[in-house]
Amino acid sequence: MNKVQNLIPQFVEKFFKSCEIDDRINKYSLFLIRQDGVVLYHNNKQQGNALTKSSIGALLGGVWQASKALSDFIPQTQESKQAEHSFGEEFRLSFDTSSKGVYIVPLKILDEELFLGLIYFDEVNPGSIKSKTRELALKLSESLETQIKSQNTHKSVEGKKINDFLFDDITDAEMDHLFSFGK
Amino acid sequence: MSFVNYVTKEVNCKIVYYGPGLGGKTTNIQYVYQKTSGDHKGNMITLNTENERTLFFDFLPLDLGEIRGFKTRFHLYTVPGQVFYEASRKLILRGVDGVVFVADSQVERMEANLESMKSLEKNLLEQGYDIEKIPFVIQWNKRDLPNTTSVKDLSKALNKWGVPEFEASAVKGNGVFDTLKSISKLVLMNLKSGLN
Repeated sequence: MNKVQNLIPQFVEKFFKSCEIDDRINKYSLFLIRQDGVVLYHNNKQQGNALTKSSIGALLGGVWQASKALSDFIPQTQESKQAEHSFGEEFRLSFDTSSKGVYIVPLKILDEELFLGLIYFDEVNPGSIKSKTRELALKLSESLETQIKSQNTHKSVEGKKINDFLFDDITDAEMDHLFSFGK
Repeated sequence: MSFVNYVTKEVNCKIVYYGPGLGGKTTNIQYVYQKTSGDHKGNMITLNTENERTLFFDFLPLDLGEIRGFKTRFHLYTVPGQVFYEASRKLILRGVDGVVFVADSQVERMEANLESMKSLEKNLLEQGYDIEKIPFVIQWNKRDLPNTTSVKDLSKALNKWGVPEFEASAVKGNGVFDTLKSISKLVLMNLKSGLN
């Protein structure tokens, strides 16, 4: 884990506080997740607690990873790679009918890949909301990059360094306390 | 890849249950799910075949509560054990913080255990992890069955690193929480602050 990864949640929060998300997509469940499925943002349009959202994050992450692994079987030449790169072509993932579905768009933030996922239904114009989701992903990506670049100094929290352990020592009593949730 | 969110004061960690097919990985997390009260667990996701064999992964999010002001959230995953799902196992190991190897203690499953352990070592290496450095524990499951290999022999064959090991009968719940508690502690103590 590096410094940038720690800063991303606060930058994400800042972005979504200041950004007015288009109502056409904000009425559906919108998630921003990390590659490992950890949820960084959700717009609370889906019923359920934070743990239900964790499950959705894991599924969004899993389906993306599986699809990406499958895409490795697509033959690619050096020319086609270059063409994709120059046109800014990125994979998107869509699982849908004509009115409902799941749509995932990746964002590359320095070394880390994040995913914006939209779960929608009863939609008369899915093409339009997919386009809005891509626009939002682009805005978010630009905002995060700007914020990261402008962050020259980072305040120390509790004097810990990058390679310090977060918990120096954990006692058995603390572990027992953590595991006291059983029925 | 553990994740410390200083905005929400949350720690997210990923634990993967690895091991041979039908060894009891899913049973482990099903038991945890059954014995965990509602506020602390989310939906258990299972992506199964028609025969209830794990196809992609099982997933259980657990909220363990607070430690030194940080909410701790563990994501438990199982991999599909059957040999031909190797590609899926590699994907699930990405970003892992701790591994539980669930070995099947039955004599006739020794070969499958060895093969699975070899695959774990190789797949971790491919993802950039050293099995000697990552938080790792082994569970000798199905100790309640007749015809089991002795723990001493299992240990000799499968635990060359001397990592913590636990006897268990996941179907009865014996050893399930001891295993989880041990790997959780190792994972938490391995977390880096990531700050400067």
